[in-house]
Amino acid sequence: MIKLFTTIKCKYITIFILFFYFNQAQVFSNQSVEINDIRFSSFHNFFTPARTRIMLIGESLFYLEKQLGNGTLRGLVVDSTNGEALAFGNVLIKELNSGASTDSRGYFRIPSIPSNKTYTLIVSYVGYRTKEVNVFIEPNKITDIKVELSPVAIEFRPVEKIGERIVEKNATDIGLQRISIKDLELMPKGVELDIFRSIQYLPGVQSTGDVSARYYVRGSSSNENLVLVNGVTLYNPFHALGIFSVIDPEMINNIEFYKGGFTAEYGGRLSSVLNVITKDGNKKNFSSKVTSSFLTGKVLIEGPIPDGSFIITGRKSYSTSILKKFLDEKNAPLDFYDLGFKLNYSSPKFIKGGKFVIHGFSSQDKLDNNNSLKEDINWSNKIFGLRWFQVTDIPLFYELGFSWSNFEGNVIPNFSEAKPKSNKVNDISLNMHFSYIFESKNELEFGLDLSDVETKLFLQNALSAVSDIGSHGTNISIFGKFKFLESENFGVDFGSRINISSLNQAKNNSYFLEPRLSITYRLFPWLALKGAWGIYTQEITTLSDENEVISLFEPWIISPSYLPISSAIHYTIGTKTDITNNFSLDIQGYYKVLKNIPTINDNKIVSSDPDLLSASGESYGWEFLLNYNQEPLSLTASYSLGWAYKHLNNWTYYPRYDARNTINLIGVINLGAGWQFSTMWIYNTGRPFTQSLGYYDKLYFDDLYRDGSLFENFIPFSILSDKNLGRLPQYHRLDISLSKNFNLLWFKIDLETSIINVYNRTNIFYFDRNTGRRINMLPFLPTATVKIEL
Amino acid sequence: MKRYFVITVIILSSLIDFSCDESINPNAIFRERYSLNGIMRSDTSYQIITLSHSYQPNEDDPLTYVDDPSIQGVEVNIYYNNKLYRMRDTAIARMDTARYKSPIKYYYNSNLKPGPNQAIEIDALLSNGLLLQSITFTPDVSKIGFFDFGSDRLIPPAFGSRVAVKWKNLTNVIYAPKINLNYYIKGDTSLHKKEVPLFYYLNNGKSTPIYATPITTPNLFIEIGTISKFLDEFPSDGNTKKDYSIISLTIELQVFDEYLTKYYSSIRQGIDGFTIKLDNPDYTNIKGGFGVFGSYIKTSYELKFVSNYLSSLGY
Repeated sequence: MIKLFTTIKCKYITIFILFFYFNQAQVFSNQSVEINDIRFSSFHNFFTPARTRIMLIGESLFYLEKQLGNGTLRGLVVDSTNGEALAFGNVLIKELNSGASTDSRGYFRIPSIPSNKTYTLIVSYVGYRTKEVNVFIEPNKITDIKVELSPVAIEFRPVEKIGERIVEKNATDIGLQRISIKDLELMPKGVELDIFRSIQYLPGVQSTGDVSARYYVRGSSSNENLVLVNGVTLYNPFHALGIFSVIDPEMINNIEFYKGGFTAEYGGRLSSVLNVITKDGNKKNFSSKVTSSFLTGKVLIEGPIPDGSFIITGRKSYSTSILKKFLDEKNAPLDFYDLGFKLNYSSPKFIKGGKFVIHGFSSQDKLDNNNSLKEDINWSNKIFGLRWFQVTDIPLFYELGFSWSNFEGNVIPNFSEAKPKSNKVNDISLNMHFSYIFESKNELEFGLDLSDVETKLFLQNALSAVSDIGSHGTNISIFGKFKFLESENFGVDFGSRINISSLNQAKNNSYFLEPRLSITYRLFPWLALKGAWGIYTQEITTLSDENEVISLFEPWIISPSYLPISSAIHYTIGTKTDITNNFSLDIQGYYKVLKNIPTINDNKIVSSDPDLLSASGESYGWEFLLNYNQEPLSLTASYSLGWAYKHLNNWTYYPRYDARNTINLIGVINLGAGWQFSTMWIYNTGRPFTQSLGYYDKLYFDDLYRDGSLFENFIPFSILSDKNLGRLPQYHRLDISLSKNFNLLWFKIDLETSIINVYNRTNIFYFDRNTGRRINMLPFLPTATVKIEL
Repeated sequence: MKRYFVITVIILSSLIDFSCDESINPNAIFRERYSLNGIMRSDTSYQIITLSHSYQPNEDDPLTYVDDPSIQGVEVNIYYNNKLYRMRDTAIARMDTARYKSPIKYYYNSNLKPGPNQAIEIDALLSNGLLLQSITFTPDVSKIGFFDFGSDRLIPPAFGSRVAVKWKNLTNVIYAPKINLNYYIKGDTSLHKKEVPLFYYLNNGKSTPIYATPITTPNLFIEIGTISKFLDEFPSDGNTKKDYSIISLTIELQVFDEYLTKYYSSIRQGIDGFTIKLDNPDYTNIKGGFGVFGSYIKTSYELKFVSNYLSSLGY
């Protein structure tokens, strides 16, 4: 190990010095002028200073390594029918038995290939026909290649996937789950295919039941999860009181989900990162899809534009009758929609190797009771982003992004007992990320994230006392990380975020640095040992009442300055075992320490009481994930054993999302002729709840002018036992789904019918102390969807 | 294929065995606790205290418990102005007998009329030796100092369409206002009162009166339009406007003490109709038990009517 680090130190110390002093890198100006002239003919005046600086760094690194005489293969893997990038596919150089996986944009890079030879490149992706391509590698050059894979009809799908152990032996990816839309589509959909509900079936991810799409990762609360759409933060990603996510799966290309131990490019949350990359749109033909379920109607339109493509997706609720099943037969007059678009442009005439993306997203929920004695509620998200992704003639990628994310929520009380509330979040962000791949396969990534966040919260309590909380701050963070990948069986990703300024201006901000480390060591060809460690901070939080199982208003605020910045330390270890080509086992253990978690003050009575208190927490556990893929059968089994604790006011308790044992079994079988059957069984031991010590008759009065108000206004009130010491009965549920796809005239039609809770298990949601009624989760519930594609 | 089908059927069959309901016991071990409630009022010398014990119903619904949990025979003492007021137990007939059938049991003292800015203490020694204790400090309403802007205690004001009645704000208190119309009916010498709405809410052509509710803000706005509408629709029982003699409008104000304020806040969470909250926190200022021991002081402010205004409305 010492030898390895000595090698790194000797070889790259010069390069690091160059990075830190890149402003003064004028010594390379002669080279850069030439590069500039070639590449910036049209944009010369506008982009020259910034770009020259970037190129200077890259070129400097490139020339330092050039003498090795190897070549680099760089490519893009896309779907042949629509040009859509295929993320997380496998690329293998047959003769070298080494390769890479495509990233979330469909790109791959294989450096250090002995040059002046022709190689056979095998490119594979689940659901696509494997392709072999001959490619000649020139010395000291980057050879670019674009590979188009043809999808295969599901009934003829052969075994396609090359085992990941072959292509990425030293991938530093502990805690990372990559999910393609193909993976999502294989699972039983229920009422609607929903990404938040789908990730709940991963080990280490908990929900609090069928009724909510909120997810809890490794013992952290849901507001500690970062949700990104094309790299832009989505603040309230829920429709319909949290029952569904706002992200329409039709618009998704792929998902990267970090359960913990995420590396330095991500910041701002304590627990997990869900990065959703949306589709680019069909680059070859215009096409459209119409989908209908019991809840929503959806439309997708996509097609080519000159040197690019577009996609527009829209979803709108048209019936809320099925929501009654989620809400204890309560009528919720909800109306919601979401709308997304993405426009991308890439032309060598404009900028060679550049790709420009404009994307937007909007969602709105309205709960309009149409009754003056009841409150109305609405909430909305809006996202707009611009991104410029640049591939250069040297092994340098960079991406510049500008985005705006907005969330607004309002409670309009009318003449109900509810009180007016409103929340507004405005987040304007700027990101610059750079990635350089060395000849040795090592990678250097660095970047700048700047977020200017403004939150406004207006609350009125039952007595019309007003809280008007406004806060504004700017977080400037830079990050740098080095991925040591030159050893075939050993990989390290180490780096840090550096917080230059914080959002909440807390007096005791001790987290200037957030160091992160992720290691992989392949002990045997079939066994890899992995580990990760990192420090994480969060400066924005929701006013979430953890006693609420359904909540309509969860405002975001910048954490008040009277609380120290929230922080977490993640420790993760694990193994990845490839038992056979089709059979793998992942085991991960984690320990997480959480400090200064803003927690709503249950005992706030008067305005001067603080809204939030500082809590701490810890969680630990083990996760097992078994995968078996042998056409026509795919099986996934996962088991989690976890503990989560929260400490508040010198009291330790289990949070509601603490489930000791969780088992998820998913099976998919391809029956041929377009038929597919999938099934899923979920089990977890009971979640915590607070037991009652009995009742007493509590005095409720609203008018002391009335005689007898002290005699008759008594209602039973539960005396609570110690918080969350009781356990609800165990939860289990079986879902099945049968789908058929076929062509009719010019249309491709998908029909799917699902049954949620096949054996009608009465899983308890909560116990209503006031009525003694047990409220159960979803009963036996058949649903269906139809999708027509033109 | 057949093999997979058979495996699936076996798995499904075994899982269905799981499907039986599982009961839940929502209760921990029961231990009797006690509750004391009393609100000392400045507008009467008849003060009331109630005492009860906790209970565990045999069924999950607490309303199925129908044995009156009231406790009698306890020595309840109140200390005010260095004087002991012993509370006596008594009972009155219950109006609502849906749950408890027996008369309402309570403790009273008819000689205690608290004034502003005073401490009142209570203790209740239960038969098992447990002592419930509490204290309240009556609000200092002498600091309230009502005033109004521009109307000079007259309705309608010389300018504008409303009367803004304000008072000096006290710390951590709730004000429970009530607007009353004072009037005489022809042939009746007693002064009558009728509550006046704060405003009317108009929806689909139907107007609904909305009355004043407890507030924390030290002001009340009386819209002349609301008063006019109220007076226009006021006559009832076959009387005409000429049968009434309208005297004045009184703004009554109950000023809650700090503990009653906190208690009232805790029982009025203002939650919407869809949020489901499981573990509601409880507030009490009773040492050794639950409930509230608080006080309020009542004060008032009177506004007179301009006679031309009343005659323009037909009075």
